[in-house]
Amino acid sequence: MLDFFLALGPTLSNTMWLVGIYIILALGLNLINGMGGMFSIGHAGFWALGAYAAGLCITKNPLGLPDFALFPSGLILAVVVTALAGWALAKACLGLSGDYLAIATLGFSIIIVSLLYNFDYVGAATGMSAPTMVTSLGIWGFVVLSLLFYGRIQFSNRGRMILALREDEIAAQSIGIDATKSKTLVFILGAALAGVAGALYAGSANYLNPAGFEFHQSIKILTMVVLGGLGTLTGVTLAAAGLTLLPELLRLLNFKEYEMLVFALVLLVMVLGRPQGIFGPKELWDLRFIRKHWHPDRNYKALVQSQGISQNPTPPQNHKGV
Amino acid sequence: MEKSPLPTFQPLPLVTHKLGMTFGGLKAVQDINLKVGKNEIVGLIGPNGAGKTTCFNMITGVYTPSHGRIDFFGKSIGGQKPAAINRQGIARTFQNIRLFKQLSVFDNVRAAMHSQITYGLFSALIRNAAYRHQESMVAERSIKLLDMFDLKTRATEIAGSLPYGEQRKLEIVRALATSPKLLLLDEPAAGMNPQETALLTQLIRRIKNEFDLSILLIEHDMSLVMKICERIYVLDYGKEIAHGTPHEIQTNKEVIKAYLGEA
Amino acid sequence: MQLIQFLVNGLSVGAMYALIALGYTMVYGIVQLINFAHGEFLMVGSFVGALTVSHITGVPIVVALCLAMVAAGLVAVLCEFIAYRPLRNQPRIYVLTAAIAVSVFLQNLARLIFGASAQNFAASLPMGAFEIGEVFIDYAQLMIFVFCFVMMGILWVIVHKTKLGQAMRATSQDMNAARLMGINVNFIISFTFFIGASLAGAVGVLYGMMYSVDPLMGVKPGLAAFVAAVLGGIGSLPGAMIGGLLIGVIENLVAGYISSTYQSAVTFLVLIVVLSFKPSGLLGRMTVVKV
Repeated sequence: MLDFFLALGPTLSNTMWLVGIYIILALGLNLINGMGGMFSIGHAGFWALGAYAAGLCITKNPLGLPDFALFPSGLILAVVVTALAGWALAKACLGLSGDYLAIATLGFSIIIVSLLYNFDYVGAATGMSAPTMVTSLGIWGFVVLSLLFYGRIQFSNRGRMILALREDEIAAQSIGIDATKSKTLVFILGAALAGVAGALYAGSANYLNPAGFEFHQSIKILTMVVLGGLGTLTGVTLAAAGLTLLPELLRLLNFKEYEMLVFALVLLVMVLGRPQGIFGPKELWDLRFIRKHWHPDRNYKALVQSQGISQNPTPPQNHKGV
Repeated sequence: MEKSPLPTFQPLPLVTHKLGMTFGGLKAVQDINLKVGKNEIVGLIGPNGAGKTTCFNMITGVYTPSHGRIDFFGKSIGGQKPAAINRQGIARTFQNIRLFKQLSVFDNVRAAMHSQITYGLFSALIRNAAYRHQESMVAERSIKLLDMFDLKTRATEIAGSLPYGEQRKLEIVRALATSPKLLLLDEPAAGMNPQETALLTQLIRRIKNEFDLSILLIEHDMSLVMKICERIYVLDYGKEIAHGTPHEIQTNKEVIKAYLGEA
Repeated sequence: MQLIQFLVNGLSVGAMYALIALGYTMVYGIVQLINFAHGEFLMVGSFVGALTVSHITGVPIVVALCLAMVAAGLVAVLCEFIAYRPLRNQPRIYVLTAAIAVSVFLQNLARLIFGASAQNFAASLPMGAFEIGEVFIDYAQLMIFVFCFVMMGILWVIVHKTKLGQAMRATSQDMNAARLMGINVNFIISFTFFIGASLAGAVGVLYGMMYSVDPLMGVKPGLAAFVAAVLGGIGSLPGAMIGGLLIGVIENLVAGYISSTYQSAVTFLVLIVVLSFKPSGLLGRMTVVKV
């Protein structure tokens, strides 16, 4: 038992980079599944695409860039490639209703991974090793940016349009919201966040191989989003952190082989017992002492203050299927 | 040739010509010729299943008409997408309320004002002056609109938690937030008690005057229809069986037959 | 000649896909759920078959097959009862999530119980082959093909010629109306899961005998069969059969002319193309949303 606690500290600090990456991944999927109300189960496909795009830039350096420019260019390439993939997938599949869309995204991720298995240039099944380019701190910088990204989209005009579409597509169209455009945008943005996570992964994991991006990764990310509460920022962030640390704790306790079993159970229990997520629709800024001083939507805050109402300003949350 | 008394010809807000809709082999709506004049309130009545909502769905682009044409201020809009039709100035409410249930009342209205905002995604991300300025402008307008309908105190509540009557009202507010020139109301008084209906009647009149728009409404509550509609169309089995002033409709034999059956 | 050989190989695999796809399509037809865990029922059947054969000496393969089918069916009924039934009136996405969870759960449970490595099935299909022209047809392939079509025939009889089948069809048309007509809808749904899963369990035994048995064995045929069901038009039984055969043939053509490592990529490419151009599949119907 003592060994466990002694090992706990180093394990946690050694996992922080991965926690950051999973938070960004979960936020990306949360954009699509939570805010957008669509249902993607192929997020690891975008992640793989981003990681390999950046990995190629970093290890092969086809343009002969100087060292300091390698990671930034890899990051840009990853974002561009994943955004394009998100756009293409949206283009092909947005006419589909919920579960069909889910299967199409799964198909997309399977296609990506199986192409990587066959692509000798990137090492096929053996994969490729990449030098470390980013520190844990750097990754957490991107986590902060991603949180801002998500929040500022949600509390913007486009965010309200996306939420309206999620709530009721027909009603949203009746007030002039172009469903295809907004949904495509959501897919592009969610995919691009996975691209960022991919580039960070390529720059910090020593090794990339296709097996690391298979379907169970998509399930892990999905579980984080469902556990945290579809469409919530606080919940999903905490759930992503918790569920990334969990396997490491299981590893310390020699229960590593139970990892996916635990994920499956968490997913099942949440969807059966508490589909709104662990914290429900509550966000950090719904806490009383924060609410007094700060809300991401200042006009909303002004309204609440002008009314002098001290009720809970519940943020939008996805309860609705498609 | 007789000369028109009007010096210039103003196209009407809404004209449908031989509008028809077929589902499979079933003719849900046939040869409907509706006209809605400027600043006019027109009623569309008829027994259940007469095809009234189908007409609304064609006018607002939810369905593509199988036959005929729809002109909005002289421009054909038949078959366009719902969003495109709304952007030209037609807004609607729904028979079975379709609010954005999980969003606040405030956000329901702000979402409908999306076209008044020009800042892009990038401005939203860096929250520049354009973002701040336009956001507060839309917030102000939304609150003003909500205030007009006595919904301001409800603004921070979740739309789905409002009482039924206020949900119906909020749907109208949301439609008005898109600044329409033609408003389609699908059974606005459904599920309301007589008092609420009386208030709604006044409200609809006020909307017509203050927002300078035309209204086409489907309603089963005859007290409301007869009070506020200037003209009424009666549909039965997908066809127009009568059309005229409330008084003419009340005394029309065909209408009485459709509603009460063969006596 | 090579082409015909690939076609023959494809049809025999395709017949198995068709049988699995029937399960997907029946369940979808009745509860509008893509039962993600369907491939795992195949795995369950395979393990039960393998265990029966290896633990009871001299047991006829037919007995193992029946046990496998019953076990797969019961597991499916249990899954439906625990994970899907409570979510029946929830958004469909929730049930789909539950199905994904059940699928991953069953895979990992099997891995804990039986270990991750592949095991041999202690019985095998008849060896040997005969030749028509230059095309080899294995006895095993022929047997699989015939077996699958016999099973489909039995299913057809159940669905179209029995009272139970009539109740199933009624429930899939309108669950509430069926309930009002005195049909025990819950029982019908359980029965549908049972039948669909037992078909998958039967394929599991065939699969086990052809290849080997492992906890993740249901994933690939499960996905292929799912694509087959969608390709044929989900909800349509003849569609599932045609889709299954088509996917089997496509996979074998890909394996023959390109590379077997591209099989699943091509399968899903077919899926995405079908979904984006004709989402209702070859024989499916589209539904109209009511406003």
